Amino acid sequence: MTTILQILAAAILIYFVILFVINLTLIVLGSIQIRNYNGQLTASDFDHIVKSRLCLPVSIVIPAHNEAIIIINSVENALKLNYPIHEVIVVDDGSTDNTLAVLDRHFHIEHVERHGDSQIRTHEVHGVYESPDYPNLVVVAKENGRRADAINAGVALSRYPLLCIIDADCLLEADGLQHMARPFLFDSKLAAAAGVIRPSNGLVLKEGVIQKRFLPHTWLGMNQEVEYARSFQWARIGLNRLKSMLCISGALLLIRKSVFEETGGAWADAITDDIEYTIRLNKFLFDRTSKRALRLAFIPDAVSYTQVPEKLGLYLSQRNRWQRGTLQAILRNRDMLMNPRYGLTSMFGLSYLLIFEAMAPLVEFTAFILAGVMLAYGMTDWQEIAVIVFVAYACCVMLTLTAVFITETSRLRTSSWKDYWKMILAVFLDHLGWHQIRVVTSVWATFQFIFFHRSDLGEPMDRVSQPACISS
Amino acid sequence: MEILNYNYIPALMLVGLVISGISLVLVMITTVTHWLAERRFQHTLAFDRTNEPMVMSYLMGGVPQLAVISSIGQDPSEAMSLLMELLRKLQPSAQSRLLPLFAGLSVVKEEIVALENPHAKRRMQAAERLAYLKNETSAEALVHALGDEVLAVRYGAARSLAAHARPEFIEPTLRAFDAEHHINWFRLVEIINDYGPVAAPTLLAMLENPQWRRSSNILNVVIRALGMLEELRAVRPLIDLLHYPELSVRLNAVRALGDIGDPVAILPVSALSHDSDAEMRRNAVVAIGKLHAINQIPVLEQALSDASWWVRVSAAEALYSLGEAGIERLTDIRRNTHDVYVHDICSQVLTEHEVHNQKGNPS
Repeated sequence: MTTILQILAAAILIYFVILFVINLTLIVLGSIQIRNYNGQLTASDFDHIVKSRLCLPVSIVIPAHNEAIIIINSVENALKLNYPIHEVIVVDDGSTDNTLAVLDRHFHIEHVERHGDSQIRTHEVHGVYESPDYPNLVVVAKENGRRADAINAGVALSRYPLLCIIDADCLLEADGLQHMARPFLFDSKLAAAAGVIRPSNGLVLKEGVIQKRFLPHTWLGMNQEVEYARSFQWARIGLNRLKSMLCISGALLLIRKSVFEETGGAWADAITDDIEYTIRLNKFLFDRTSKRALRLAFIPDAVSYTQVPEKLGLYLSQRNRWQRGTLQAILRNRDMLMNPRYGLTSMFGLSYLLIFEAMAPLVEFTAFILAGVMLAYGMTDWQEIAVIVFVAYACCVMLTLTAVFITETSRLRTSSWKDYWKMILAVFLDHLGWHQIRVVTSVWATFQFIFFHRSDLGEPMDRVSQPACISS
Repeated sequence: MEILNYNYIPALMLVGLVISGISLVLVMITTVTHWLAERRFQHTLAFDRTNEPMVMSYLMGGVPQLAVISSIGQDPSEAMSLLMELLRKLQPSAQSRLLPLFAGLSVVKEEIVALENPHAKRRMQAAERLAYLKNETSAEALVHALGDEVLAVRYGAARSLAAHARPEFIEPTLRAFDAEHHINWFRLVEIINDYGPVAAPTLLAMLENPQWRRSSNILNVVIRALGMLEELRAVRPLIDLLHYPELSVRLNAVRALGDIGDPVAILPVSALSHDSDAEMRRNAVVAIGKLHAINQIPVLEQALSDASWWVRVSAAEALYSLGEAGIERLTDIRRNTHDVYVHDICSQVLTEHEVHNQKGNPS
């Protein structure tokens, strides 16, 4: 018994050492990538895009289900993006809160006939509407499916070769689309690009345009600010360098329409369609037998701001869904695991996603239990546990601080000293409670997914226009 | 018994302390970074607050040129950024009045030297800035920069050379990108288009030159640039290129003929509406619309029942763009057709335009 416990303890320690080393590697790779990217930017690049007559036009697809409170801000924000040619397609996915009526009141939409060429099947579309005031706005009303189904319906009616998929609560900087589309001008082999996601709670808006960027006001919001910074400032970009960015957030994806259709679109039954789609997209792009030689990019200065939950119940529900969604996505694409046909994406990327992201909470939870058992059996003492916890905490803080450092060197830096110190404090507090709550939630979600096959979307987000997005 | 051997505990503690120390150093570095960024931001803000009103006043004839140059010249780098920003915001008519201010900054020599800087970012910045400075002495250095190993520097140099509007730079520019196979060629088309009408004779000569015809990438750039320049003399050679073996060249020739809008191209373009390639058929019907070929309404009608949705919608749009005759025909077809696809596409285009036209929006 004691031998088994000791082997288990050693295995867990080795696991976390490996995870720490991988994260350090990702930081180095991510930093190099960001440095290279920033080294190639010039102001006139964007000036050129804005004035371009031959730029690639973009269809922005916004799936919306019961988003009446925030939809106007989001659509106005998308319509006002500074990009030469773009259309905004809002898909009302069977909302019951008058989302369509709110859109009608504000944009005065009228019914039109509009069809598309896509072969991807979706739930029934009840009607398509356009606005005399906003010629580049299209509103689609359809029967409720899930987010993926709404995206597919929007894509079917889109007209342009690039698709920008964002959530209904997302807000982009006015030049966000220029930053996202810029790499497509350099590289005809680029299939898709992902950007940075940050919490929008705390932004100041005027008619849908971002005026000021403050950080969230609650500690739960701040905790997510730190979490998003860690995830997007080096992890994703480092993983992308290794062809292993298997989770592109649904809050910001720019993809060639031809690629989206060739991959069969988003999977309507997915718990988290963005994760599932990203894995499938990687499978498509990096399949060695196809010789497509397509690429995926991460754009470190293109930001989409999304509302993060500031109520504990909703936060836990969201994390529960993410965990189940990750497991479902990996399970659905299990043929890709350790399959040399997909190269590094499979051999490292998917394995990393499974072992060090999906299973990390289970390993950590096991470590807590194990520590308790070993204490109870007298196999260890508080002093040893305290030292191990201290080292783990120091490692986590250091990794997160690098994310804050990278943020501060970019245009996403905090806008005041007050926010800066709030951010630093949140880094130190994140691992003292919030992290453990996330671990327990993920373990419970894994249990529900494996034993109860739970596949619902959980509690819907509680949207707020005040004070999360202050319309000044 | 223990998780780790007790001998390792002090070592582990040391590791923890070292990592904590690194974290503290990181906090300090990040704080300094934040402070520096904030200071730079405040400096730029103060510079712009002082000088922007002065430049605007100069543009309206209020402040003499020398006074502005003397004020902004205190920080040439900030001045360049401010002037470039203003240039982007201003109407083209006012933009030319800013040029003496760029010239007054006397940074041309510095920027030419910077084209050889070991840091690619600085070389890019120099190539970009020289476009605004438009100084003849920089031309040679910019042509040399077309051979830079960094693509972005080459783009910057190409754009700066275009600002000189001297057609002899067109060939070296195109040659500098010929070996790049993965770039998006539209950027280069727009750079060549920036030369304006003076580029046309060179481009026409390139179109006839067998040496250039060997590279389909360059050929495509030349074709699209001639289209954007609406160069009538290019129509005949472009019609010949409609039979070029490579599809991309044929497609660009059709697009260019549509952009130029010479009725001579109507029949050759119209013949392509039956091509086996859907993209070619689509571009052909779009070009028919742009050429305002009312006599080709039957061809567009036929394209309304094409197997490809894109050809159908483009044909309906082309019919609509023909004005009254086309709209009337679309309405008739919608009323009388038994083909559900044709009906749908006609309805779609007509209802969309009805909605958009309510407030006089461009459809």
